[in-house]
Parts: sequence; C-alpha cells; structure tokens
Amino acid sequence: MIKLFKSKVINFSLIAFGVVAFCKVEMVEAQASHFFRTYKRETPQKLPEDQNAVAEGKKVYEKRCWYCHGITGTGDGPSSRTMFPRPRNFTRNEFKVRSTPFGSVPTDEDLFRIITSGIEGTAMPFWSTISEAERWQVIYYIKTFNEQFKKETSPAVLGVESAVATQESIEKGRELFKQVKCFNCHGEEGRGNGPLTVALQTQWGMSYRARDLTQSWNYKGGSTAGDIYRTISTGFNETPMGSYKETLSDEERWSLAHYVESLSKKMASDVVVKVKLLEEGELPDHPADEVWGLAAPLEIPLAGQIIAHPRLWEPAIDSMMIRGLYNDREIAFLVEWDDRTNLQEDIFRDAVSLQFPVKIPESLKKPYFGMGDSGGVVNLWQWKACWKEGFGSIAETPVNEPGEIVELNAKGFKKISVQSPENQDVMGEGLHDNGRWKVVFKRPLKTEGGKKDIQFEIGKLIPIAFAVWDGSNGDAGSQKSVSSWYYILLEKPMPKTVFVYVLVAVVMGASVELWFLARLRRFPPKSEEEDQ
Amino acid sequence: MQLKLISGFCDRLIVPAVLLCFALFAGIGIALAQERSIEPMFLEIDKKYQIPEGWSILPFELEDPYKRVKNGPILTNVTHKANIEWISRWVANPKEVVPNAKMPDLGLEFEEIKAVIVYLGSIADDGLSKVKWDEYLLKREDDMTDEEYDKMDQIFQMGKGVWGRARCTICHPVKGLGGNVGVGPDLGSIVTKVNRDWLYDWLANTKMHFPDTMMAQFRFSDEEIRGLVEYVMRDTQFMPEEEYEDEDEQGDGGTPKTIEETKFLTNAEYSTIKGDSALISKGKEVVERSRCFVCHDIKGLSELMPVVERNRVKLEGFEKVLYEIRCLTCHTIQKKGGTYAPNLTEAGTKMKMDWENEFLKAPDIIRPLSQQMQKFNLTREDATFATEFMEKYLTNKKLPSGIFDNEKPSQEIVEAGKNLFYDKGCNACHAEGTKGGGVVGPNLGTVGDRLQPAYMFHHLKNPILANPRAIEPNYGLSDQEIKSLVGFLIDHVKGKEGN
Repeated sequence: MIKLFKSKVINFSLIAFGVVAFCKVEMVEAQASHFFRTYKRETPQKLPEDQNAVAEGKKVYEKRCWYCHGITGTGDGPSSRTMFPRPRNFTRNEFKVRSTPFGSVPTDEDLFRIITSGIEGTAMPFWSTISEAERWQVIYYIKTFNEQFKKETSPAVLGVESAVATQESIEKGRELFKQVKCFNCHGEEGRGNGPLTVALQTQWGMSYRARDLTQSWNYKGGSTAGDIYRTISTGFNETPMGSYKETLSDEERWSLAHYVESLSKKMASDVVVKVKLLEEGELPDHPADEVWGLAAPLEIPLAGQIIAHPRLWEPAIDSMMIRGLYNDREIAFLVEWDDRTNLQEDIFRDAVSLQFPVKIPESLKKPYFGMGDSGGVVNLWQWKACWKEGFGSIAETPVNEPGEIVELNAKGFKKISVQSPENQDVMGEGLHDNGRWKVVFKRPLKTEGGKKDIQFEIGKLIPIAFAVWDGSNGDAGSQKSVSSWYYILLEKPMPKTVFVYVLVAVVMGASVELWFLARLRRFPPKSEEEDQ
Repeated sequence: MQLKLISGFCDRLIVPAVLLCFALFAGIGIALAQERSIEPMFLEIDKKYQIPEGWSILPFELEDPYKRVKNGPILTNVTHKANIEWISRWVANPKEVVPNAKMPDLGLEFEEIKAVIVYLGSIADDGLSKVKWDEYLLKREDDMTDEEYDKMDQIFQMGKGVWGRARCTICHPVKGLGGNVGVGPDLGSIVTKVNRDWLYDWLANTKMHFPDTMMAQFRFSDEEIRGLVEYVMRDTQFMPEEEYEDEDEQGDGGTPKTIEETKFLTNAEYSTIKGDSALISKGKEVVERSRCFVCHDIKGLSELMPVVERNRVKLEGFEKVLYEIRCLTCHTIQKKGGTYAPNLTEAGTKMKMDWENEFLKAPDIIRPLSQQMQKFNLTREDATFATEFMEKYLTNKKLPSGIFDNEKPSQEIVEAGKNLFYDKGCNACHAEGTKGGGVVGPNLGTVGDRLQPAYMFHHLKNPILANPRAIEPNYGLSDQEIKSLVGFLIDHVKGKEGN
C-alpha cells in the first residue's frame, strides 16, 4: 500500500517537474523567435488563379498594400519615404527571396511565404493576420504588375536539402568566404563593411548595403543555414548579391552557409544590465582591454527617433551592446555598435549617449525616455568621435583620437544644458575597429555634482536609456537611433554566508521530508483493501 | 403537343440565351483586356503624394545623373582608352593614381590584375576610329623645327583659351585644385592615361563611349577640340610631378628612396600575354567575383545583375538638351539633380525669359567665377527649347502676382527702396554691376532684367522659403517695404542702362 502511495507521489512530482521544464523550454523558444517571425516552408493548397481571384486580390491590395507599394505597384506609396530599404517595386523584377534562378521571378509559394512571414530588417510585416485565401488572391493581383510572370510559367525550383553543420564544414566555409571574395562587400568579420559597400554608400550614394552578417535578425528571408544556402544559391535580384550556383558546388554552398550562420548572433536582449563587481584591480580604460570579457554583455535593440522634429526615418544602426563593471570607487561601461564607416563631418559625427535619471526613482515612475520632461531631469553622458578638419570636409577619425565626452542635463527635447567644466566627471575613449565602434565611459560612483548627476547605489535598479548617431547616415541632433528605458543593476558582492544558507535550507528540507515519511510509517493511511 | 410546346419554349429562349452568352464573352473579354483598372480617385491621391502642390507634371521622366544604373564607365574598349600601365596601377590602388578616385581598392594581387587586363583586352573591339593629325603634331616638342613648334604653339594657345572658357576646372580638379562640383576625375596626370585619339573622340561626343556620363557635351567645333587636345596632351599641369621631385632629391644629395614601387604590367609584357586563353578565363572569373559589374557595364557579364536600363533612343527638344548638356549635374529640377547651381524647379516664375534666353547662349557673370555657368555654346534652338520648357512647366502657381506687372515704380517708391537698400546694408554682400560691393551674394547689377518682380517679392519676404540653401537673413520687412525695395531694384538697372 505504502508502495502504491509512494509511486503516486513520485509520479506527481515527475509530472510537475515536466510541466515546469516544458514551460521553461517554451519561454526560451519564444525569445529565440525574434518578433515572432518564423519561416514556414510548407504552404497550403493554392486557390485557382482566375479573374475572380485577381479582382478579390485587388481589393486586398488596395486595402493593405498600396500605401507602401504604391497604387500602381511602383513601390512609391505615400509611406514609402519613411522606409529604408524602400518597398519593392512590383513592376520591376526586384524580388529578393526566391527559390528560382537569379534574374527570374519568384514562384507563388515564395511570395506566399514572404507575405506570411514578412521580411526582417524592413518595414514589411507578417500578414499571417489575413486569411490564406486573401493571401493567394493578393499574390495573383501583384503578379499582374509585371509581365515577366506571364512569360515564365514554371521556373525551375531550387531544392533545399539540408546538410548538418560540422566544424569541418564551417572551416571550409571560412576559406570559401575568402576565396569567392565575400569580404569585398560583407567585410572581413562580416559586419557589412567591405570596401565595395563603403564605396557605393559614401562615394556614390547608392542604396545597396551588404548585410551585416553578425546580426541574424536582419537576414532577409530567414537566418537558418537553409535560408542562407538558398540566398547564396539564388541571389537577390537587382543587387550585387548574385547567385553562386554556377561558381560553387552544392556542398560548397552549404559549407559557406554554415560559416555565415556561425558568424551570426541572436538578439539576446534582456531588461537589466548586470554590472559586475571587479574586486581587484582598476577598471579598464581602453575599449580593447581583456578585462571586459568578465562582464556579461547585453544586446539592446534601437529604433529611429520619430517623436520630436526633425525625425529619423532611416536609422542606420538598429542595435548596440553594453556591459558594465564597477569597483568600490568607480563604474565603467563599454558600449559597442556596428557602423560600416568611420567618417566624420563637423555636425554629422558618430556619437553615443547614455541617459540616466538624476535621481534613482523609488516608484515605477521615470522621466520621459526621450531626454526627460519637466517633472524629471535626466543626466546624459555623450561621446562624440573626433573631427578636426576645416569647414565642410569629411574625414576619418585618426586611430589614436579617443573622441570627446560631455556630460549634459536635459528636461525635454529642447531643454538641454551642458554641465559646467568642474562638474564634468565622465572619462572615456572610443575606438573604431573593422566596422565596429567600441566606447568606454568611466565615472566615480558618487560625484560632487549633487542633484545634476546620477549617484549610483549598489543593488538598486537604475534606469538607463541609449542613443546612437551615425554621422555618415546624416544623423545629428534629434535624428538618432534611440532605445526606451532599460535598467542597470550593480550586483551585490556575494557574501560567504550564502553557501551556509543553502546548506541550512537543504538540511531543513530533508528533515521535513524524513519527518513526513516517519509519520506515514507510524500512522499508515487505511487502504481500501484493508477496509474490505 | 408536348414536343411542340418545348420547341416553342426553346425558340423563345434561344435568342436571349445567345445574347446572354455574347454578353458574358464580351464581359470576360473586357475583363481580360483590362486586368488592372485603378479607380481614378486612387490615382489622384497618388499624384498628390508624388508631386508637391504648385508644381507641374512634366511631360517626361527626368533623368537624375546622380542616380545612374552603373556609375563606372563601360569597360568594353577600356584597353583602347587607357594605357595598359595606367590600368594596372589604377586597379591596384585607384587613390594613388587619381587622388579623388571613387573606385574602391579591390585588394587584387598582381597576377589577378594581369588576368583582368588580358580579359578586358579580349572583349574590346578590334580598333577605334583614328583621327587624322598633322604629322608634326605627333612629334615631341624637342624634335620639332621652330616653324612646326610655332604652329603647334598657336593651336596650344587656342586650346588653352577653350579650356578657360569652358571652365573645365569647375568639375575637374588638377592636382587637387578646383573641382568644386565634386564630379570629375582629377586630371593631374591624365597624359599617362589617355591617348590623343581617344581624347578627341571623348570631347567630340562624350556619350559615345559612356552614355551615362555626367559630363556635359560641349558644342565644340573640330578646331576647338584639336586645340584642347593639344593643350591637355602638352601642358605640364597634366603630367605627373614625380620626375621633378626625383631630380630635386638627387640634387639634395640623393636621399634614399623608401617608397615601395607597386608592381605594374608594362606595355611590353602585355603584348606577349595578350590573347592568352587561360588568362582570359581567369580574368573573367576575377571580374565576376570582384563584382565589377555592379558599377561597370561589361560585355557578357551584365546579366549577372540585370537591372532596368534607361532607353534614350528618341530624345527630342528639351529632354535631349538636358541629356546632352547634363544640366542636372549642377542644377535641380523637382528634387532631381545636383545642388551646385540654382534650383530650376521654379525658374519659369523666377526668371525673365528674354534674359534667360540670352544667358543660355552666352552666360554672363553673376556669381563668383568658380560658380559661373560654363559656356556650352548652346544654339539658338537649344535656348528656345529650354525657355519654352521653363515657361510651361517649371513654374510655381502659388507665387504672389500683380507686382509691377505693367506699371513702372514711382519715383517715391524707388527713393524709399534706395534708402532701405543702403540702410539694411544689402551692398555688404551684393555688388551692383561695376559699382562694387560684397561678393557673397549674386551681383544685382542686372537683377531687374533677370528676375520677375513677383519672385523678388517672394524671395525678400522669406529668403529661406524661396531658396532653402540661401544664407541671406530674413529682415522681416513689411509688404510695403519689400515692394519699394523691388521697385528700386527694377529701376536701378534701368537707370544704369540709360547712362
């Protein structure tokens, strides 16, 4: 009988554990699928493509699509000017994500997948919100914009069979990356800063930008190895990203895809930046210091500032990374973000700013995230890249120039004041290395600036917000990439007593359990069998 | 009986049934013929978004020289155009050869560059048309007789004049000086690149070898071109300076040279490997992988990046003038083009067309020399096309009207305007004809002939609104004050002419 009861208890606890574990896995999954975008390969049964379907599709198009793609399908709808990359021009064969050969139009299924999933790094949303029938209908309407759809009836479909990534295939891909000169556009470390991209952007003002391969959330058409393989094989129409189907064998393309996948990172974001205590030694001054490896980095998504005029509709920087360290006297942050160029002009300069409220809020109420408000003053630490040339010229920051840091206060977009020179306590320097800026900020935990400066306290959640400017994108003033409020937490030093508490808890738990079992033994519950 | 009834019924039904069928077919036919009919309301809204209020819809789509399909020149005949040695150095490091080069350094190795050149040689035409030169012009200066030298010098001096009048240095810097528009390559060592046959071809028809070029087609005569060729091929400013530096260094006692020479393909070596099929296929592969076709049209490779090209087969009237002169390299029309010269979007409401017509045929000096419009030698016909187009399409319907349209400003108004002009210190920035004054703003000596009174009013009311790039301050003048100032400016000029 006892056996039976025991087995019931064990079963129950197993199930409970299973549920908890399952929930945890679910959460991880939800975080991994950024913005809920998943590329489903299978598509539902097609509707017949007839006049009726086209007419219905026209209705859908003129309700949901035209304001970006234009009423005549030329990609210049009223809201298109606030978007970069621009919406597709359906009258041209600019279709990017296809399973068909380079230069040909996509299949209906390709279009269905894109409409269902949207495109990363662009304004194209996922239209899984409309019915499948509507999606097929609108595809048939979109096809009427381009004659090529009529001429090419059944283009060859590229089969995507998967190959598993191994250390060898990644290594081989690394070699191929050099051999077929991917770095000419994508940069040596894959940050999209190759000489061709930079020349096309800065010298010619063309809109081609090679993808920053480290940002998986910006891969057009998905970031799995299979998606990358498809892109390498079919290319993107009307861009320098051509097809490598003829140049590389099937296996080589898989290797390259595995290598590219290995370059990419996920947007591992959180709300709290954990600032780690450095118990021994000085805090690092230099961005390339190895000590920074001790602090856990946090990736933070950014968006163009579109609340105050002038707005930034075409942000060039959509994420940044931060980590922090502190000791008994000082606190230091390392901020990193990808920027293809290091070109500075008088007012258009690369810059970054950290924003704190001047007082740690006791409640949830914080100053307005955009430069504070009349009720809440913010403290800003702003770093700007160095620029020394004469008026009007554009120059690269010299390698040994650390840039300048200014401490400001603001209570609203227009009410900004620079702190007096004796109150400027923030030190630091910036370094541009292979398409990435790294900037260090360092300040004493407490300052004499009193009410104008944030005074850091250990163990408290302190709000922090960010802004980044890209000079070569024409960012200046309120035209910047911004984040909302995040928090920093100066982690408490872990006292040795922590381990004792754990031990005590374990012992207590065990004794309660033993007591429970002993009680069961002494007063066995009556089973049904005994009753009979 | 029953049968009869049925047949009668059928008789009566057949006609409408057939009619119905016809209607259905016709309906389908129409539906198929007009697959996409967009409601006019939508098109109306679309138009409103595309073009700001007050602007006209142009009869053709403007071509923006800054938004070209391919930015680089066509490479088909590049081995005929440029010296092999020059191409080799250029590909290895463009910035070292031409200081303002816009081509990126592709990081190619010498062997790859060699293959690329052989490949480019293989896609070139057999030969280009040769220009006939007088024998003596092909000699070096030292080998000429005195008489020949004098004759050459005459042509050279004439070419120097053309070079100055055409204001080539506005676009082309020479050894880092000039090139304010920021579009032309530095010509500081052009003699090491091109030959005189090519140069003649290029100046005679810039669009022949590179239809997308931003360079204007000057209406030069054959004689002028020959002069220009002589000047460019012989003047020392177009030759690299290195030789002189070397001599100086040796004179100083021979400081050892530390600069590492980049390896380059010589003409002699090229002639031995020309046509090598292994090198050709290797070169093609390098060109493919280096994505040269993103910027260059290369025979046989352009389908690697198919893009919609511009069709310029039948250009006429002003569209042809715009294309040949490339007006939009400097000017802007409806948000397309460059910003070096005044915006022409509202030129029809701004300028007086009689003046504009004369100006186009022979531009006078309004602004500082570096901003002065080049002498393109436009024909009477070209100028008429331009002014007619401006009057018809480049207007702003929202400008004020009825300011000194027919009336002459009274003496009082002129007097009041004159006081205002000097009180506010307008002459600190604007000169008045030969009377002198500042050089920040344009010379107002002929402004009454040049600008329409209504535009002057509009401009003075708020200079920034009329011209977003204006640095002229807004003095916040009242309407009456502005009117008297406009009156003064009109009369001022008239007075001058009378003198």
